[in-house]
Amino acid sequence: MGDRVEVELVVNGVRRRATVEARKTLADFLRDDCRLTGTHLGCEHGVCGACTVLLDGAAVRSCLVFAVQASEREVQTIEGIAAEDGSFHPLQEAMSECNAFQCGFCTPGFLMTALEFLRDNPDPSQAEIRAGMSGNLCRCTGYGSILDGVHLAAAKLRDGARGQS
Amino acid sequence: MKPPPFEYVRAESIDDALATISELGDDAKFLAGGQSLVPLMAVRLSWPTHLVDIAGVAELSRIAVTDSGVVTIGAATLQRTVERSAAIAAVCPVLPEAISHIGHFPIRNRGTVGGSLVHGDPASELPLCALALDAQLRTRRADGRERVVDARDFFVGPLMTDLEADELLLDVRIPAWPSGAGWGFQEFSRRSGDFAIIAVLTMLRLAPNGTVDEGRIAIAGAGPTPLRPPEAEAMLAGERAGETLFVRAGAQVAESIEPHSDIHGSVRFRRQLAASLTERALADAHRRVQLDG
Ligand SMILES: Cc1cc2nc3c(=O)[nH]c(=O)nc-3n(C[C@H](O)[C@H](O)[C@H](O)COP(=O)(O)OP(=O)(O)OC[C@H]3O[C@@H](n4cnc5c(N)ncnc54)[C@H](O)[C@@H]3O)c2cc1C
Ligand code: FES
Ligand code: FES
Repeated sequence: MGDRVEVELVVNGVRRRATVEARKTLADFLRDDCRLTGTHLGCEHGVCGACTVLLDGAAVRSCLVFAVQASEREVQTIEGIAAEDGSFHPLQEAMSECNAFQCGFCTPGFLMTALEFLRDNPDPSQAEIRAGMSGNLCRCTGYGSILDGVHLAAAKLRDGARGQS
Repeated sequence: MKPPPFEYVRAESIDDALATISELGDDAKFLAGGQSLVPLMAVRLSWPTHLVDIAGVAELSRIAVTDSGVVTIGAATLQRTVERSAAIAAVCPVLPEAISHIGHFPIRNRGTVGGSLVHGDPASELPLCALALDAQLRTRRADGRERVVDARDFFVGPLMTDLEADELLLDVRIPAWPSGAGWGFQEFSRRSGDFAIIAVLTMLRLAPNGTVDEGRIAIAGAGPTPLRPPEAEAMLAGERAGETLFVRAGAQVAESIEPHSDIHGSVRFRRQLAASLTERALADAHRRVQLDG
């Protein structure tokens, strides 16, 4: 018990330990303690989706999870999705090909949401993409190209999966 | 906007959670998925001294479905788990359908069934389901006293439920869906995933001659709690199911509610919305009715 707590979690495959304030959110832990600033903070109350990361594979708002709640668990952030040799993830490629960002602030959150969305639904319709991505806001209003990017990424991931089998 | 400081305690069991909360006093709170509590803390509307985290208590996140179709869901069960449960979809398909309208999937990945019921937002889907499905909520206090509260008595006002500060919601029990009954769920929100402006859940069970044996209408977003307008429900019984009846029931619902007005819609708009969503939800229920035998 205490307002400072021990946390130990695995972020992008790397084990991290720290003593932090109980009120420190996972988002702040990733940014301040892990120096992984790809996870962005927009609204800090769950509405914009900019802080979305994967917690044990599930997309969550890292501004609504306390770091201590993520203890003993695995986190994946935008920094952890490219291949080891630095080559882009198919989602990153697709976003880039579709010009799916302007300032880029919302992009990490969109990508992390899309990762779980496409894992569950590898061949989504346009309407399903629109609904699935509706929890993320883009202040530059680049929605059209973002949705195109997710659509293209779905095709790339399906091709990739076929290539492997 | 950062949440104010608090002390964190992880509960290992139901008994542990209850003992801890009663020891810590009135300013301690349970933390489940945090999808309502953490935003409230971030905007400084809630300032608990201690949070007792119940998310990891395995006894609180069990789903059970009996052979006769009675569903029991532990309070800390994730909304996403219920949404994806084939066992629940088989006996109570309206529940996963309604839950799929809660926020966005990353919210449902953390939000729990109990957290939503206890939070008691009048526009929320789970309180609406609990009321429409005649659910019973089981609770326990630190001294071991248990209660079973009907959903009708559980929601007492906007964000107010019939629960003491040291009382833990254990589970929610949903009686078997009446055989052959059809259901409808209709929601209007400004954008996919937003809170409902109005949501309506209906149930229809018909006699072999096509008249209504039992009809239920529950509505969210139309008052301080989810509602079951008694006049509109009474109006269905014994009548021939069909468009004429559904339009009359919708008009009755619009008349019996006292919605509020805000930038998302006037009282008049909400009444009209309630009427048309009721009509549509009743038509959906009618379409899904299976006559016995
Ligand atoms: C962007 C956004 C959009 C949303 N949209 C919707 C929506 O459209 N519809 C909707 O219904 N909800 C919506 N929500 C709220 C969401 O559904 C929450 O998951 C839910 O209301 C609270 O559940 P929780 O498990 O996160 O509870 P918490 O936030 O952890 O707790 C909520 C309250 O319940 C208490 N509590 C929790 N569990 C128990 C228990 N077992 N016994 C006693 N007390 C308990 C807590 O102390 C607290 O007071 C939204 C949230 C966000 C952030
Ligand atoms: S910063 Fe977390 S949802 Fe906006
Ligand atoms: S690209 Fe600027 S916020 Fe989306």
